[in-house]
Amino acid sequence: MFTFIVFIIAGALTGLITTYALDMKTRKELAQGTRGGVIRAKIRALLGPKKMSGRRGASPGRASHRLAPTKEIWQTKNKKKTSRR
Amino acid sequence: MEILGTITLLIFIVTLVATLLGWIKMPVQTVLIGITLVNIVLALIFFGLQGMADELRLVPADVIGRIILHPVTALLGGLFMGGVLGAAGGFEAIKAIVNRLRKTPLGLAGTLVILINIPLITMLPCGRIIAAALLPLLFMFGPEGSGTLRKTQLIVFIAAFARNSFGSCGPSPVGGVAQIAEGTLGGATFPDAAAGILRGPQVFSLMIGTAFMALFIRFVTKRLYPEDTVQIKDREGGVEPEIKVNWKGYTSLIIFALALLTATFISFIPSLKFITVQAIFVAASILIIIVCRVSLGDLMTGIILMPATAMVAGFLAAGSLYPTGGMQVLQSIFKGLAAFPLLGVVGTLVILVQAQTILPLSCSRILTAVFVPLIYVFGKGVGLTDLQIGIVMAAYIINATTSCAPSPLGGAGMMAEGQLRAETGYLKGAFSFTSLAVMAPLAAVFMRFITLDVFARNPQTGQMMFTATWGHLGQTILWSLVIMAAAYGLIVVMSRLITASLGRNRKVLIASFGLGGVLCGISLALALRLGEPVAGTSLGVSLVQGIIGGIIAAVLIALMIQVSFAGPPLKENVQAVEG
Repeated sequence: MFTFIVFIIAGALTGLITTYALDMKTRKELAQGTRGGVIRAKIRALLGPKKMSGRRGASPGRASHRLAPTKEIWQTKNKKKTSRR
Repeated sequence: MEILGTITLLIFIVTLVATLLGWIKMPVQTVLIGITLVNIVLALIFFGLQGMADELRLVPADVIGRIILHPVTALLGGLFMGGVLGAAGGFEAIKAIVNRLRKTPLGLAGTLVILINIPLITMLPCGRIIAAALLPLLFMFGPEGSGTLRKTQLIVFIAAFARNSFGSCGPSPVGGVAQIAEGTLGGATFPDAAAGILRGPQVFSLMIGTAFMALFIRFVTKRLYPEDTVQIKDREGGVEPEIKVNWKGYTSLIIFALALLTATFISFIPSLKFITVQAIFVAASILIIIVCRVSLGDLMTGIILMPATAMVAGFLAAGSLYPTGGMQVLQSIFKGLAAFPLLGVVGTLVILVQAQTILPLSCSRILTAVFVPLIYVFGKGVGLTDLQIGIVMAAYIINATTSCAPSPLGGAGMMAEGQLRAETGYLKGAFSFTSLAVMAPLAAVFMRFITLDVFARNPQTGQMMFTATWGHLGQTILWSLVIMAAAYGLIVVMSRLITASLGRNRKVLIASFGLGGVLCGISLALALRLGEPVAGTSLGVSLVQGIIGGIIAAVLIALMIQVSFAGPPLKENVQAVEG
């Protein structure tokens, strides 16, 4: 999620900067450039690596000792959410 | 063995520098194969004289064995796909889609921003593929085509596209440059590194680097040509070409997009992980050949062999340093630098991060084969943690990936300069500056606060070692803004100091690069502090070492690539304007 947020902010900002650098300075043009930057960033964020769950697909020999702890983390997080409710 | 290592290393470095400075006028691949052969012969003579029969027999196998096949075959798969796409009209389809986008709410500005970033979206294994296909289209936005953009705007537009294009080979899942480093990082701490541990930092820094390339060129061009009088040599009969796309173009583009998505996400599906990206791209290419009836002749003309040959030649030349002891000598040199108090570990790391912009070759894969293992072994040797090595690697790899653009040895940036018909080297300073002062620091920051959350696992328990919080997100944004603001300030001040005097401009550029190096040094020193000191040094010492390392690297970059603004046409132009 954090990757997505950072990408969107960076996309908007760089879209704005690029439009400014292209000497397009009206509000409409700057908004269009920002929109273009956000669209580009969204596409890139969707293509980026995601945080892996317990089933990470590592080789079976290595994965076995890590699956359990990952599951525990997941359960701990769920417990925390439940307690907040 | 140390003598042999010193000799082979000297041959390697001196020959590369001589090629870079134009003293040896041969393709860099030929030079590298020559280095390999000379080093092998020297090793055979040395081991023969010493009576080391086992070592002697193993030399050829040891050198050949250093070729890492995965990125080579993935690159060939990606190039094969690029060739098929070009032959089937896929790039024409992209042009047609872009033309339609202009009529949507995105408008011209939004479309230009997306167009500039198409290389980063398509992520082909070599930026030259998409640049060769789209640069003529981009030029047609200018006064000689549709007249949509003025000359200065056109220069900024093409420069930004070139920056994006000639860095997009890094995060590519099909034979991208970063795969060499991802393979090295993959281990106990980063078991899933091959899924793209360096992709996020590269994309993030390349997005911002592209915008800063545009800013840099805008300010410099506006300063040199205040009345938008920049001289693009005239060409007759410039009109916007009509783009005709048939169903084959769209079909090939859809198949390519599906293959790209599959190649990107398949590593996250354990049951399908055995399918390699090469297999996906070759299968998709064959599908396009069958469906779109592309002839083999059309296909072969689209394949660019340069990156593949450069990669293999680079692996061989680097490989020849291993059995001869050259790599150990190189490590000793950097360890010696790290022992020097003013430079220390952080300063040496900053120089290593910038190594490929200091020695920019036509394809970054050549030296990546040397520096990736060197950084890893050096980092381990001086007591860096795996996480710190990951941060250094993120900064290094974006710098390496983007180094083909300013290369004087047929660098990719020349394609853009050629398309603009500007003098060679006009974009070089901006390419190097963005790599030095913007992209490497930003990649380190992104890796430090965001990517470690996705990949870093405790080797013993398998639990994530680092959990990103909203605070980390805030720090990422804050640091990035500070780096961007500092780089912006540097660009503005530098552009104001530029005059018609080439000698003065050169001094201004070297000073600006030096300050860019300071920015890089500070950023890396701060990013490397993960709660514990870097190699036992305090923050203040790390910062000083980072600054010194940054200045040395920056000045070397400015000297090695002969950064300047302007050949005779520009100078005359400035004098005319000022007169």
